[in-house]
Amino acid sequence: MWKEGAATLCTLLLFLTVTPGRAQEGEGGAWSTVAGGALGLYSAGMLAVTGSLIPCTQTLAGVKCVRVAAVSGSAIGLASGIYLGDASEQFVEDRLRGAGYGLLIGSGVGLMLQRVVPHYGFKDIAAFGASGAAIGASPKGAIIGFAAGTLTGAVLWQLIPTFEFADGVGLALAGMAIGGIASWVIDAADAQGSKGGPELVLPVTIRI
Amino acid sequence: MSPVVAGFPRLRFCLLVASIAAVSGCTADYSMEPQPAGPLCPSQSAALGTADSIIAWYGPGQARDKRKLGEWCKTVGPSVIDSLPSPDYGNWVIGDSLAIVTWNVNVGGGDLELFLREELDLDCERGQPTRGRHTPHFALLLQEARRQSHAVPIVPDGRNVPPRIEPDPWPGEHRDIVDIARGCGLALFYVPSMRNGVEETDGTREDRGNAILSTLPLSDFVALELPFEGSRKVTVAATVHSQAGDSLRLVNLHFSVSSTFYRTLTTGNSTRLRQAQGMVEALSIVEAERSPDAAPSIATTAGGDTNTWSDDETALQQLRIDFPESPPSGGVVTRAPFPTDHIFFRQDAERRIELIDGSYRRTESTYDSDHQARIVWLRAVLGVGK
Repeated sequence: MWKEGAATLCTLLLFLTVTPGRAQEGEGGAWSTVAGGALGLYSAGMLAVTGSLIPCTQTLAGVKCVRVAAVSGSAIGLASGIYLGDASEQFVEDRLRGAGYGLLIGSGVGLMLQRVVPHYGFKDIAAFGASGAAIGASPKGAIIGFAAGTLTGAVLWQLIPTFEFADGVGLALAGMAIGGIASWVIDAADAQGSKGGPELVLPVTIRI
Repeated sequence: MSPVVAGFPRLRFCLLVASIAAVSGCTADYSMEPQPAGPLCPSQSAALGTADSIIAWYGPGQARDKRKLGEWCKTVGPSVIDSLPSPDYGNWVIGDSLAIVTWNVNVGGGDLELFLREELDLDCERGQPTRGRHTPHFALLLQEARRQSHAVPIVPDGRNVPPRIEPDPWPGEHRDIVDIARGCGLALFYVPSMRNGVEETDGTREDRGNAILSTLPLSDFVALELPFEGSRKVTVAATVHSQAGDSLRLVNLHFSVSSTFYRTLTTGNSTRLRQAQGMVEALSIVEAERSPDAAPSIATTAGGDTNTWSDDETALQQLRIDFPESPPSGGVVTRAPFPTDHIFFRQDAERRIELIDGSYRRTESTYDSDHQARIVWLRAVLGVGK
Protein backbone atom coordinates (compact mmCIF):
# COMPACT_ATOMS: atom_id res chain seq x y z
CA MET A 1 0.00 0.00 0.00
CA TRP A 2 2.95 2.35 0.49
CA LYS A 3 3.59 2.76 -3.22
CA GLU A 4 -0.11 3.16 -3.94
CA GLY A 5 -0.45 5.72 -1.17
CA ALA A 6 2.55 7.67 -2.40
CA ALA A 7 1.21 7.63 -5.95
CA THR A 8 -2.15 8.89 -4.74
CA LEU A 9 -0.56 11.65 -2.72
CA CYS A 10 1.52 12.78 -5.68
CA THR A 11 -1.54 12.76 -7.96
CA LEU A 12 -3.50 14.75 -5.44
CA LEU A 13 -0.74 17.26 -4.90
CA LEU A 14 -0.37 17.69 -8.63
CA PHE A 15 -4.03 18.60 -8.87
CA LEU A 16 -4.19 20.80 -5.82
CA THR A 17 -1.01 22.76 -6.38
CA VAL A 18 -2.04 23.98 -9.83
CA THR A 19 -3.23 27.49 -9.13
CA PRO A 20 -6.90 27.81 -9.95
CA GLY A 21 -8.47 30.92 -11.38
CA ARG A 22 -9.48 33.76 -9.17
CA ALA A 23 -12.40 32.95 -6.93
CA GLN A 24 -15.49 34.92 -7.61
CA GLU A 25 -17.86 35.71 -4.83
CA GLY A 26 -21.04 33.64 -4.59
CA GLU A 27 -19.93 30.89 -6.98
CA GLY A 28 -18.70 28.35 -4.51
CA GLY A 29 -18.80 28.02 -0.77
CA ALA A 30 -17.36 25.96 2.02
CA TRP A 31 -20.15 23.44 1.99
CA SER A 32 -20.04 22.97 -1.78
CA THR A 33 -16.27 22.46 -1.66
CA VAL A 34 -16.60 19.83 1.04
CA ALA A 35 -19.58 18.19 -0.61
CA GLY A 36 -17.94 18.29 -4.03
CA GLY A 37 -14.75 16.72 -2.71
CA ALA A 38 -16.58 14.00 -0.80
CA LEU A 39 -18.90 13.18 -3.68
CA GLY A 40 -16.07 13.21 -6.20
CA LEU A 41 -13.99 10.91 -4.04
CA TYR A 42 -16.89 8.53 -3.55
CA SER A 43 -18.26 8.55 -7.09
CA ALA A 44 -14.96 8.28 -8.94
CA GLY A 45 -13.60 5.76 -6.43
CA MET A 46 -16.65 3.54 -6.75
CA LEU A 47 -16.65 3.85 -10.53
CA ALA A 48 -12.96 2.94 -10.62
CA VAL A 49 -13.60 -0.16 -8.50
CA THR A 50 -16.52 -1.24 -10.68
CA GLY A 51 -14.70 -0.52 -13.91
CA SER A 52 -11.53 -2.33 -12.91
CA LEU A 53 -13.14 -5.49 -11.51
CA ILE A 54 -13.10 -7.50 -14.72
CA PRO A 55 -10.05 -6.07 -16.52
CA CYS A 56 -7.93 -6.42 -13.37
CA THR A 57 -9.00 -9.99 -12.73
CA GLN A 58 -7.66 -10.90 -16.18
CA THR A 59 -4.18 -10.15 -14.87
CA LEU A 60 -1.93 -11.79 -12.34
CA ALA A 61 -2.02 -8.61 -10.27
CA GLY A 62 -5.73 -9.18 -9.63
CA VAL A 63 -6.91 -7.49 -6.44
CA LYS A 64 -3.79 -5.30 -6.21
CA CYS A 65 -4.68 -3.86 -9.59
CA VAL A 66 -8.23 -3.11 -8.38
CA ARG A 67 -6.79 -1.32 -5.35
CA VAL A 68 -4.51 0.84 -7.46
CA ALA A 69 -7.41 1.74 -9.75
CA ALA A 70 -9.63 2.54 -6.76
CA VAL A 71 -7.05 4.75 -5.08
CA SER A 72 -6.27 6.56 -8.34
CA GLY A 73 -9.95 7.07 -9.13
CA SER A 74 -10.65 8.34 -5.61
CA ALA A 75 -7.76 10.79 -5.79
CA ILE A 76 -8.86 12.17 -9.16
CA GLY A 77 -12.45 12.38 -7.98
CA LEU A 78 -11.47 14.11 -4.75
CA ALA A 79 -9.40 16.73 -6.51
CA SER A 80 -11.98 17.29 -9.26
CA GLY A 81 -14.81 17.46 -6.72
CA ILE A 82 -13.02 20.06 -4.63
CA TYR A 83 -12.38 22.19 -7.69
CA LEU A 84 -15.93 21.74 -8.88
CA GLY A 85 -17.40 22.63 -5.51
CA ASP A 86 -15.10 25.57 -5.17
CA ALA A 87 -16.25 26.92 -8.51
CA SER A 88 -19.96 26.30 -8.49
CA GLU A 89 -22.58 25.32 -5.96
CA GLN A 90 -24.97 24.55 -8.79
CA PHE A 91 -22.72 21.84 -10.25
CA VAL A 92 -22.48 20.12 -6.87
CA GLU A 93 -26.20 20.36 -6.23
CA ASP A 94 -26.92 18.79 -9.62
CA ARG A 95 -24.52 15.97 -8.97
CA LEU A 96 -25.86 15.35 -5.48
CA ARG A 97 -29.37 15.19 -6.88
CA GLY A 98 -28.17 12.74 -9.53
CA ALA A 99 -26.53 10.61 -6.85
CA GLY A 100 -29.82 10.54 -4.96
CA TYR A 101 -31.71 9.34 -8.02
CA GLY A 102 -28.97 6.80 -8.67
CA LEU A 103 -29.23 5.56 -5.11
CA LEU A 104 -32.96 5.00 -5.49
CA ILE A 105 -32.70 3.33 -8.89
CA GLY A 106 -29.75 1.16 -7.81
CA SER A 107 -31.51 0.10 -4.63
CA GLY A 108 -34.60 -0.75 -6.66
CA VAL A 109 -32.56 -2.93 -8.99
CA GLY A 110 -30.91 -4.57 -5.97
CA LEU A 111 -34.29 -5.22 -4.39
CA MET A 112 -35.57 -6.90 -7.53
CA LEU A 113 -32.47 -9.05 -7.83
CA GLN A 114 -32.59 -9.96 -4.16
CA ARG A 115 -35.94 -11.61 -4.79
CA VAL A 116 -34.60 -13.86 -7.54
CA VAL A 117 -30.96 -14.49 -6.60
CA PRO A 118 -30.97 -16.94 -3.68
CA HIS A 119 -27.93 -15.78 -1.74
CA TYR A 120 -28.46 -12.03 -2.11
CA GLY A 121 -29.24 -10.11 1.07
CA PHE A 122 -29.69 -6.56 2.29
CA LYS A 123 -25.98 -5.83 1.94
CA ASP A 124 -26.35 -6.47 -1.77
CA ILE A 125 -29.29 -4.11 -2.07
CA ALA A 126 -27.15 -1.49 -0.35
CA ALA A 127 -24.23 -2.26 -2.68
CA PHE A 128 -26.43 -1.81 -5.75
CA GLY A 129 -27.69 1.44 -4.26
CA ALA A 130 -24.13 2.59 -3.64
CA SER A 131 -23.14 1.80 -7.22
CA GLY A 132 -26.22 3.55 -8.50
CA ALA A 133 -25.33 6.65 -6.50
CA ALA A 134 -21.81 6.66 -7.94
CA ILE A 135 -23.14 6.42 -11.49
CA GLY A 136 -25.91 8.92 -10.80
CA ALA A 137 -23.37 11.51 -9.68
CA SER A 138 -21.88 11.55 -13.19
CA PRO A 139 -24.52 9.98 -15.39
CA LYS A 140 -23.71 11.45 -18.78
CA GLY A 141 -20.06 10.45 -18.77
CA ALA A 142 -20.82 7.02 -17.34
CA ILE A 143 -23.53 6.29 -19.90
CA ILE A 144 -21.51 7.55 -22.86
CA GLY A 145 -18.48 5.60 -21.66
CA PHE A 146 -20.55 2.47 -21.12
CA ALA A 147 -22.07 2.71 -24.59
CA ALA A 148 -18.69 3.29 -26.21
CA GLY A 149 -17.12 0.42 -24.25
CA THR A 150 -19.98 -1.95 -25.07
CA LEU A 151 -19.85 -1.13 -28.77
CA THR A 152 -16.08 -1.48 -28.94
CA GLY A 153 -16.21 -4.73 -26.96
CA ALA A 154 -18.91 -6.19 -29.19
CA VAL A 155 -16.97 -5.35 -32.35
CA LEU A 156 -13.70 -6.72 -31.00
CA TRP A 157 -15.43 -9.88 -29.77
CA GLN A 158 -16.67 -10.53 -33.28
CA LEU A 159 -13.43 -9.63 -35.02
CA ILE A 160 -10.68 -11.06 -32.82
CA PRO A 161 -10.86 -14.76 -31.94
CA THR A 162 -8.72 -14.40 -28.81
CA PHE A 163 -10.88 -11.54 -27.50
CA GLU A 164 -13.17 -13.28 -25.04
CA PHE A 165 -16.68 -12.47 -23.88
CA ALA A 166 -15.32 -11.40 -20.49
CA ASP A 167 -13.01 -8.92 -22.22
CA GLY A 168 -16.03 -7.33 -23.87
CA VAL A 169 -17.92 -7.04 -20.57
CA GLY A 170 -14.79 -5.67 -18.95
CA LEU A 171 -14.43 -3.08 -21.69
CA ALA A 172 -18.03 -1.93 -21.18
CA LEU A 173 -17.55 -1.49 -17.42
CA ALA A 174 -14.15 0.13 -17.86
CA GLY A 175 -15.71 2.51 -20.38
CA MET A 176 -18.38 3.43 -17.86
CA ALA A 177 -15.75 4.15 -15.22
CA ILE A 178 -13.51 6.15 -17.53
CA GLY A 179 -16.45 8.14 -18.86
CA GLY A 180 -17.75 8.87 -15.37
CA ILE A 181 -14.37 9.93 -14.00
CA ALA A 182 -13.60 11.97 -17.11
CA SER A 183 -16.84 13.87 -16.65
CA TRP A 184 -15.70 14.88 -13.14
CA VAL A 185 -12.41 16.17 -14.51
CA ILE A 186 -13.98 17.93 -17.50
CA ASP A 187 -16.70 19.58 -15.39
CA ALA A 188 -14.13 20.72 -12.85
CA ALA A 189 -12.00 22.23 -15.60
CA ASP A 190 -15.03 23.87 -17.20
CA ALA A 191 -16.22 25.28 -13.90
CA GLN A 192 -12.86 26.71 -13.04
CA GLY A 193 -12.51 28.06 -16.57
CA SER A 194 -15.86 29.81 -16.37
CA LYS A 195 -14.73 31.51 -13.16
CA GLY A 196 -11.93 33.11 -15.12
CA GLY A 197 -8.34 32.05 -15.11
CA PRO A 198 -5.17 34.04 -14.71
CA GLU A 199 -4.76 36.46 -17.59
CA LEU A 200 -1.68 36.24 -19.75
CA VAL A 201 -0.77 39.65 -21.19
CA LEU A 202 1.42 39.50 -24.25
CA PRO A 203 3.29 42.70 -25.10
CA VAL A 204 2.57 42.92 -28.78
CA THR A 205 3.08 46.01 -30.83
CA ILE A 206 1.60 46.28 -34.26
CA ARG A 207 3.09 48.88 -36.55
CA ILE A 208 1.17 50.13 -39.52
CA MET B 1 -5.12 28.51 -4.18
CA SER B 2 -8.59 29.92 -3.65
CA PRO B 3 -9.46 30.95 -0.12
CA VAL B 4 -12.15 28.29 0.23
CA VAL B 5 -9.95 25.43 -0.85
CA ALA B 6 -7.00 26.73 1.08
CA GLY B 7 -9.13 26.85 4.20
CA PHE B 8 -9.51 23.08 4.34
CA PRO B 9 -6.06 21.49 4.23
CA ARG B 10 -6.90 19.03 6.99
CA LEU B 11 -10.18 18.17 5.34
CA ARG B 12 -8.46 17.27 2.11
CA PHE B 13 -5.93 15.18 3.94
CA CYS B 14 -8.64 13.42 5.95
CA LEU B 15 -10.65 12.65 2.83
CA LEU B 16 -7.55 11.23 1.18
CA VAL B 17 -6.68 9.09 4.19
CA ALA B 18 -10.27 7.88 4.42
CA SER B 19 -10.29 6.88 0.77
CA ILE B 20 -7.03 4.99 1.04
CA ALA B 21 -8.18 3.25 4.21
CA ALA B 22 -11.48 2.30 2.62
CA VAL B 23 -9.82 0.88 -0.45
CA SER B 24 -7.09 -0.95 1.41
CA GLY B 25 -9.78 -2.39 3.64
CA CYS B 26 -11.29 -4.09 0.61
CA THR B 27 -9.51 -7.35 1.13
CA ALA B 28 -10.65 -10.86 1.78
CA ASP B 29 -8.03 -12.68 3.75
CA TYR B 30 -8.12 -16.38 4.26
CA SER B 31 -5.93 -18.99 5.86
CA MET B 32 -6.52 -22.67 5.61
CA GLU B 33 -6.12 -25.05 8.51
CA PRO B 34 -6.84 -28.68 9.37
CA GLN B 35 -10.28 -29.31 10.83
CA PRO B 36 -10.87 -31.51 13.86
CA ALA B 37 -10.78 -35.23 13.14
CA GLY B 38 -14.10 -37.01 12.76
CA PRO B 39 -17.39 -36.10 11.14
CA LEU B 40 -17.48 -32.43 10.23
CA CYS B 41 -21.20 -31.75 10.15
CA PRO B 42 -23.91 -32.84 12.58
CA SER B 43 -25.64 -34.89 9.87
CA GLN B 44 -22.45 -36.85 9.35
CA SER B 45 -22.42 -38.13 12.91
CA ALA B 46 -25.07 -40.63 11.89
CA ALA B 47 -24.10 -44.26 11.46
CA LEU B 48 -23.94 -43.85 7.70
CA GLY B 49 -21.38 -41.09 8.10
CA THR B 50 -18.47 -43.34 9.00
CA ALA B 51 -16.71 -42.34 5.77
CA ASP B 52 -16.36 -38.84 7.10
CA SER B 53 -14.27 -39.98 10.03
CA ILE B 54 -11.51 -41.28 7.74
CA ILE B 55 -11.42 -38.14 5.62
CA ALA B 56 -8.82 -35.52 6.46
CA TRP B 57 -10.72 -32.23 6.46
CA TYR B 58 -9.24 -28.79 5.87
CA GLY B 59 -10.96 -25.44 5.75
CA PRO B 60 -10.61 -21.72 6.21
CA GLY B 61 -9.79 -20.43 9.66
CA GLN B 62 -11.84 -17.22 9.52
CA ALA B 63 -14.91 -17.04 11.75
CA ARG B 64 -17.19 -15.83 8.93
CA ASP B 65 -16.24 -18.72 6.67
CA LYS B 66 -16.59 -21.26 9.46
CA ARG B 67 -20.03 -20.02 10.44
CA LYS B 68 -21.36 -19.98 6.87
CA LEU B 69 -19.83 -23.33 5.96
CA GLY B 70 -21.20 -24.88 9.15
CA GLU B 71 -24.72 -23.67 8.37
CA TRP B 72 -24.62 -25.15 4.86
CA CYS B 73 -22.96 -28.34 6.05
CA LYS B 74 -25.92 -29.11 8.31
CA THR B 75 -28.18 -29.58 5.30
CA VAL B 76 -26.21 -32.31 3.49
CA GLY B 77 -25.81 -36.01 4.02
CA PRO B 78 -22.69 -38.04 4.77
CA SER B 79 -19.83 -38.61 2.37
CA VAL B 80 -19.46 -41.92 0.54
CA ILE B 81 -16.27 -43.92 0.12
CA ASP B 82 -16.01 -47.14 -1.87
CA SER B 83 -12.25 -47.38 -1.98
CA LEU B 84 -11.91 -50.56 -4.04
CA PRO B 85 -13.04 -50.97 -7.64
CA SER B 86 -13.93 -54.27 -9.23
CA PRO B 87 -10.79 -56.47 -9.38
CA ASP B 88 -11.46 -56.98 -13.08
CA TYR B 89 -9.91 -53.61 -13.80
CA GLY B 90 -6.47 -54.85 -12.73
CA ASN B 91 -3.38 -52.82 -11.91
CA TRP B 92 -1.87 -49.72 -13.42
CA VAL B 93 1.44 -50.95 -14.76
CA ILE B 94 4.43 -48.96 -16.02
CA GLY B 95 3.83 -47.71 -19.52
CA ASP B 96 0.04 -47.87 -19.18
CA SER B 97 -1.77 -44.66 -19.76
CA LEU B 98 -4.36 -43.28 -17.38
CA ALA B 99 -7.17 -41.03 -18.58
CA ILE B 100 -8.09 -38.11 -16.34
CA VAL B 101 -11.51 -36.68 -17.07
CA THR B 102 -13.13 -33.59 -15.63
CA TRP B 103 -16.80 -33.03 -16.25
CA ASN B 104 -19.58 -31.04 -14.67
CA VAL B 105 -22.54 -33.42 -14.94
CA ASN B 106 -25.21 -30.80 -14.18
CA VAL B 107 -26.77 -32.55 -11.18
CA GLY B 108 -27.37 -35.82 -12.97
CA GLY B 109 -28.29 -34.24 -16.31
CA GLY B 110 -25.14 -35.52 -17.99
CA ASP B 111 -25.58 -39.09 -19.22
CA LEU B 112 -22.61 -40.63 -17.46
CA GLU B 113 -23.23 -44.17 -18.66
CA LEU B 114 -23.36 -43.03 -22.30
CA PHE B 115 -20.21 -41.00 -21.68
CA LEU B 116 -18.39 -44.06 -20.33
CA ARG B 117 -19.43 -46.13 -23.31
CA GLU B 118 -18.59 -43.56 -25.96
CA GLU B 119 -15.44 -42.00 -24.52
CA LEU B 120 -13.89 -44.79 -22.44
CA ASP B 121 -15.28 -47.96 -24.02
CA LEU B 122 -16.94 -49.15 -20.80
CA ASP B 123 -20.52 -50.39 -20.93
CA CYS B 124 -22.32 -50.32 -17.57
CA GLU B 125 -25.86 -50.22 -18.86
CA ARG B 126 -26.59 -53.94 -18.77
CA GLY B 127 -26.21 -54.29 -15.01
CA GLN B 128 -22.69 -55.65 -15.28
CA PRO B 129 -19.70 -53.58 -16.42
CA THR B 130 -18.41 -54.79 -19.76
CA ARG B 131 -14.97 -53.61 -20.78
CA GLY B 132 -14.20 -53.06 -24.40
CA ARG B 133 -10.90 -53.81 -26.10
CA HIS B 134 -9.74 -50.28 -25.53
CA THR B 135 -10.99 -49.57 -22.02
CA PRO B 136 -8.14 -47.78 -20.28
CA HIS B 137 -7.61 -47.06 -16.64
CA PHE B 138 -9.29 -43.81 -15.85
CA ALA B 139 -10.29 -41.42 -13.11
CA LEU B 140 -13.36 -39.25 -13.44
CA LEU B 141 -13.45 -35.93 -11.61
CA LEU B 142 -17.14 -35.07 -11.59
CA GLN B 143 -18.71 -31.87 -10.35
CA GLU B 144 -22.37 -31.37 -9.50
CA ALA B 145 -22.76 -35.08 -8.99
CA ARG B 146 -26.22 -35.89 -7.61
CA ARG B 147 -26.78 -38.23 -4.65
CA GLN B 148 -30.22 -39.37 -3.53
CA SER B 149 -30.47 -40.81 -0.03
CA HIS B 150 -32.56 -41.12 3.12
CA ALA B 151 -29.38 -40.09 4.96
CA VAL B 152 -29.71 -36.57 3.61
CA PRO B 153 -31.34 -34.87 6.60
CA ILE B 154 -34.77 -33.29 6.72
CA VAL B 155 -34.39 -29.53 7.07
CA PRO B 156 -37.05 -27.25 8.51
CA ASP B 157 -36.86 -24.59 5.81
CA GLY B 158 -34.96 -23.32 2.79
CA ARG B 159 -32.30 -21.41 4.67
CA ASN B 160 -28.82 -22.29 3.42
CA VAL B 161 -30.35 -24.55 0.79
CA PRO B 162 -29.97 -23.64 -2.88
CA PRO B 163 -32.91 -24.19 -5.22
CA ARG B 164 -33.25 -27.63 -6.69
CA ILE B 165 -31.61 -28.12 -10.08
CA GLU B 166 -33.49 -30.53 -12.27
CA PRO B 167 -32.17 -30.93 -15.80
CA ASP B 168 -34.64 -30.22 -18.57
CA PRO B 169 -34.91 -32.36 -20.62
CA TRP B 170 -33.78 -35.24 -18.46
CA PRO B 171 -33.79 -38.54 -20.34
CA GLY B 172 -32.71 -41.85 -18.84
CA GLU B 173 -33.24 -43.57 -15.53
CA HIS B 174 -32.02 -40.79 -13.24
CA ARG B 175 -29.63 -43.01 -11.31
CA ASP B 176 -27.59 -41.18 -8.74
CA ILE B 177 -23.82 -41.12 -8.58
CA VAL B 178 -23.54 -43.90 -5.99
CA ASP B 179 -25.72 -46.24 -8.05
CA ILE B 180 -23.79 -45.57 -11.22
CA ALA B 181 -20.38 -46.03 -9.59
CA ARG B 182 -21.42 -49.29 -7.96
CA GLY B 183 -23.10 -50.50 -11.14
CA CYS B 184 -19.86 -49.90 -13.03
CA GLY B 185 -17.68 -51.44 -10.32
CA LEU B 186 -15.75 -48.20 -9.88
CA ALA B 187 -14.08 -46.89 -6.74
CA LEU B 188 -15.94 -43.85 -5.47
CA PHE B 189 -15.23 -40.87 -3.26
CA TYR B 190 -18.18 -38.52 -3.00
CA VAL B 191 -18.46 -35.49 -0.75
CA PRO B 192 -21.61 -33.36 -0.91
CA SER B 193 -21.14 -29.61 -1.03
CA MET B 194 -24.74 -28.52 -0.79
CA ARG B 195 -28.29 -29.66 -0.77
CA ASN B 196 -30.26 -30.01 -4.02
CA GLY B 197 -33.45 -28.26 -2.93
CA VAL B 198 -35.48 -28.72 0.23
CA GLU B 199 -38.14 -30.92 -1.27
CA GLU B 200 -38.25 -34.71 -1.31
CA THR B 201 -38.31 -36.68 -4.55
CA ASP B 202 -39.54 -40.26 -4.55
CA GLY B 203 -39.54 -40.20 -0.76
CA THR B 204 -35.86 -39.32 -0.48
CA ARG B 205 -33.77 -36.20 -0.45
CA GLU B 206 -30.86 -35.09 -2.61
CA ASP B 207 -27.55 -33.34 -2.25
CA ARG B 208 -24.85 -32.58 -4.80
CA GLY B 209 -21.09 -32.27 -4.79
CA ASN B 210 -17.80 -33.52 -6.15
CA ALA B 211 -17.11 -37.16 -6.87
CA ILE B 212 -14.04 -39.10 -7.95
CA LEU B 213 -14.72 -42.38 -9.74
CA SER B 214 -11.81 -44.59 -10.68
CA THR B 215 -10.83 -47.97 -12.06
CA LEU B 216 -7.95 -47.88 -9.56
CA PRO B 217 -8.18 -48.20 -5.76
CA LEU B 218 -8.49 -44.87 -3.97
CA SER B 219 -6.74 -43.93 -0.73
CA ASP B 220 -5.69 -40.93 1.39
CA PHE B 221 -9.05 -39.19 1.30
CA VAL B 222 -8.94 -35.42 1.71
CA ALA B 223 -11.74 -32.84 1.67
CA LEU B 224 -11.03 -29.12 1.47
CA GLU B 225 -13.84 -26.75 2.33
CA LEU B 226 -13.08 -23.69 0.22
CA PRO B 227 -13.43 -20.13 1.51
CA PHE B 228 -17.14 -19.33 1.45
CA GLU B 229 -18.35 -17.11 -1.36
CA GLY B 230 -21.84 -17.63 -2.77
CA SER B 231 -22.25 -21.21 -1.62
CA ARG B 232 -20.38 -24.07 0.08
CA LYS B 233 -17.81 -25.72 -2.17
CA VAL B 234 -15.76 -28.75 -1.17
CA THR B 235 -12.71 -29.81 -3.16
CA VAL B 236 -12.02 -33.52 -2.81
CA ALA B 237 -8.75 -35.37 -3.24
CA ALA B 238 -7.72 -39.00 -3.24
CA THR B 239 -4.65 -40.93 -4.32
CA VAL B 240 -4.13 -43.75 -6.82
CA HIS B 241 -1.00 -45.85 -7.23
CA SER B 242 0.70 -47.66 -10.05
CA GLN B 243 1.69 -51.28 -9.54
CA ALA B 244 5.27 -50.08 -9.01
CA GLY B 245 4.16 -47.81 -6.19
CA ASP B 246 4.10 -44.46 -7.99
CA SER B 247 1.45 -42.22 -6.55
CA LEU B 248 -0.83 -39.70 -8.16
CA ARG B 249 -3.06 -37.39 -6.18
CA LEU B 250 -6.36 -36.61 -7.88
CA VAL B 251 -7.93 -33.30 -6.94
CA ASN B 252 -11.49 -32.48 -7.98
CA LEU B 253 -12.38 -28.81 -7.66
CA HIS B 254 -15.42 -26.65 -8.26
CA PHE B 255 -15.24 -22.89 -7.70
CA SER B 256 -18.13 -20.50 -7.24
CA VAL B 257 -19.63 -18.93 -10.33
CA SER B 258 -20.20 -15.70 -8.41
CA SER B 259 -20.33 -14.29 -4.97
CA THR B 260 -22.79 -11.74 -3.69
CA PHE B 261 -22.58 -8.30 -5.30
CA TYR B 262 -21.51 -6.82 -1.97
CA ARG B 263 -18.59 -9.25 -1.70
CA THR B 264 -17.68 -8.79 -5.35
CA LEU B 265 -17.27 -5.07 -4.75
CA THR B 266 -15.54 -5.30 -1.40
CA THR B 267 -13.14 -8.08 -2.33
CA GLY B 268 -12.17 -6.78 -5.76
CA ASN B 269 -13.91 -9.65 -7.55
CA SER B 270 -11.56 -12.17 -5.95
CA THR B 271 -14.17 -14.91 -5.53
CA ARG B 272 -12.41 -17.64 -7.48
CA LEU B 273 -8.91 -16.42 -6.72
CA ARG B 274 -9.59 -16.73 -3.02
CA GLN B 275 -10.90 -20.25 -3.52
CA ALA B 276 -7.97 -21.22 -5.75
CA GLN B 277 -5.46 -19.87 -3.26
CA GLY B 278 -7.27 -21.56 -0.40
CA MET B 279 -7.18 -24.87 -2.23
CA VAL B 280 -3.48 -24.57 -3.07
CA GLU B 281 -2.65 -23.59 0.49
CA ALA B 282 -4.59 -26.53 1.91
CA LEU B 283 -2.89 -28.91 -0.52
CA SER B 284 0.49 -27.59 0.57
CA ILE B 285 -0.49 -28.29 4.20
CA VAL B 286 -1.47 -31.82 3.16
CA GLU B 287 1.90 -32.24 1.42
CA ALA B 288 3.78 -30.91 4.43
CA GLU B 289 1.94 -33.26 6.76
CA ARG B 290 2.61 -36.26 4.54
CA SER B 291 6.29 -35.55 3.89
CA PRO B 292 7.49 -32.83 6.27
CA ASP B 293 11.15 -32.95 5.29
CA ALA B 294 10.95 -33.43 1.56
CA ALA B 295 9.91 -31.72 -1.61
CA PRO B 296 6.49 -32.70 -2.92
CA SER B 297 6.73 -36.44 -3.21
CA ILE B 298 3.61 -37.06 -5.18
CA ALA B 299 2.45 -36.02 -8.62
CA THR B 300 -0.84 -34.16 -8.54
CA THR B 301 -3.49 -33.55 -11.12
CA ALA B 302 -6.27 -31.12 -10.33
CA GLY B 303 -9.28 -30.76 -12.55
CA GLY B 304 -12.67 -29.26 -12.37
CA ASP B 305 -15.11 -26.52 -13.11
CA THR B 306 -13.37 -23.27 -12.26
CA ASN B 307 -16.37 -21.23 -13.47
CA THR B 308 -13.92 -18.79 -15.02
CA TRP B 309 -15.15 -16.19 -17.48
CA SER B 310 -11.94 -16.07 -19.45
CA ASP B 311 -8.78 -18.03 -19.99
CA ASP B 312 -6.66 -15.29 -18.42
CA GLU B 313 -8.49 -14.97 -15.12
CA THR B 314 -6.21 -14.40 -12.15
CA ALA B 315 -7.28 -17.66 -10.52
CA LEU B 316 -6.26 -19.64 -13.62
CA GLN B 317 -2.96 -17.81 -13.95
CA GLN B 318 -2.22 -18.54 -10.32
CA LEU B 319 -3.10 -22.23 -10.70
CA ARG B 320 -0.83 -22.53 -13.76
CA ILE B 321 2.02 -21.23 -11.62
CA ASP B 322 1.23 -23.70 -8.85
CA PHE B 323 0.84 -26.56 -11.35
CA PRO B 324 3.69 -25.79 -13.75
CA GLU B 325 3.38 -28.89 -15.94
CA SER B 326 -0.26 -28.17 -16.77
CA PRO B 327 -1.28 -28.77 -20.37
CA PRO B 328 -1.92 -25.58 -22.38
CA SER B 329 -5.53 -24.58 -22.04
CA GLY B 330 -5.83 -22.99 -25.44
CA GLY B 331 -8.86 -20.96 -24.44
CA VAL B 332 -11.13 -23.90 -25.14
CA VAL B 333 -14.75 -23.10 -24.35
CA THR B 334 -16.59 -25.82 -22.45
CA ARG B 335 -19.69 -23.96 -21.40
CA ALA B 336 -20.29 -21.52 -24.20
CA PRO B 337 -19.06 -18.86 -24.29
CA PHE B 338 -16.93 -19.50 -21.22
CA PRO B 339 -13.75 -21.58 -20.77
CA THR B 340 -14.82 -23.00 -17.43
CA ASP B 341 -13.29 -26.47 -17.23
CA HIS B 342 -9.60 -27.15 -16.84
CA ILE B 343 -7.05 -29.77 -15.85
CA PHE B 344 -3.80 -28.85 -14.10
CA PHE B 345 -0.77 -31.02 -13.43
CA ARG B 346 2.44 -30.96 -11.48
CA GLN B 347 5.02 -33.69 -11.38
CA ASP B 348 6.64 -35.13 -8.31
CA ALA B 349 10.31 -34.42 -7.64
CA GLU B 350 11.45 -37.59 -9.46
CA ARG B 351 9.08 -37.13 -12.40
CA ARG B 352 7.70 -40.64 -12.17
CA ILE B 353 4.43 -39.74 -13.85
CA GLU B 354 4.24 -37.66 -17.01
CA LEU B 355 1.59 -36.03 -19.08
CA ILE B 356 1.28 -37.33 -22.62
CA ASP B 357 1.91 -34.43 -24.98
CA GLY B 358 -0.99 -33.42 -27.18
CA SER B 359 -3.47 -35.61 -25.33
CA TYR B 360 -5.48 -32.80 -23.72
CA ARG B 361 -8.81 -32.43 -25.45
CA ARG B 362 -12.45 -31.54 -25.08
CA THR B 363 -15.24 -33.99 -25.82
CA GLU B 364 -17.36 -33.12 -28.81
CA SER B 365 -20.64 -33.85 -27.05
CA THR B 366 -22.04 -32.52 -23.79
CA TYR B 367 -23.87 -35.84 -23.23
CA ASP B 368 -26.92 -33.83 -22.07
CA SER B 369 -24.95 -31.88 -19.48
CA ASP B 370 -24.48 -28.13 -19.78
CA HIS B 371 -20.70 -28.59 -19.93
CA GLN B 372 -18.39 -30.44 -22.25
CA ALA B 373 -15.82 -32.65 -20.57
CA ARG B 374 -12.04 -32.39 -20.84
CA ILE B 375 -9.70 -35.36 -20.96
CA VAL B 376 -5.95 -35.67 -20.57
CA TRP B 377 -3.74 -38.75 -20.53
CA LEU B 378 -0.96 -39.50 -18.06
CA ARG B 379 1.60 -42.26 -18.03
CA ALA B 380 3.66 -43.88 -15.29
CA VAL B 381 7.21 -43.89 -16.61
CA LEU B 382 9.34 -44.97 -13.65
CA GLY B 383 8.81 -47.32 -10.76
CA VAL B 384 9.70 -46.26 -7.23
CA GLY B 385 13.40 -46.73 -6.58
CA LYS B 386 14.31 -47.11 -10.23
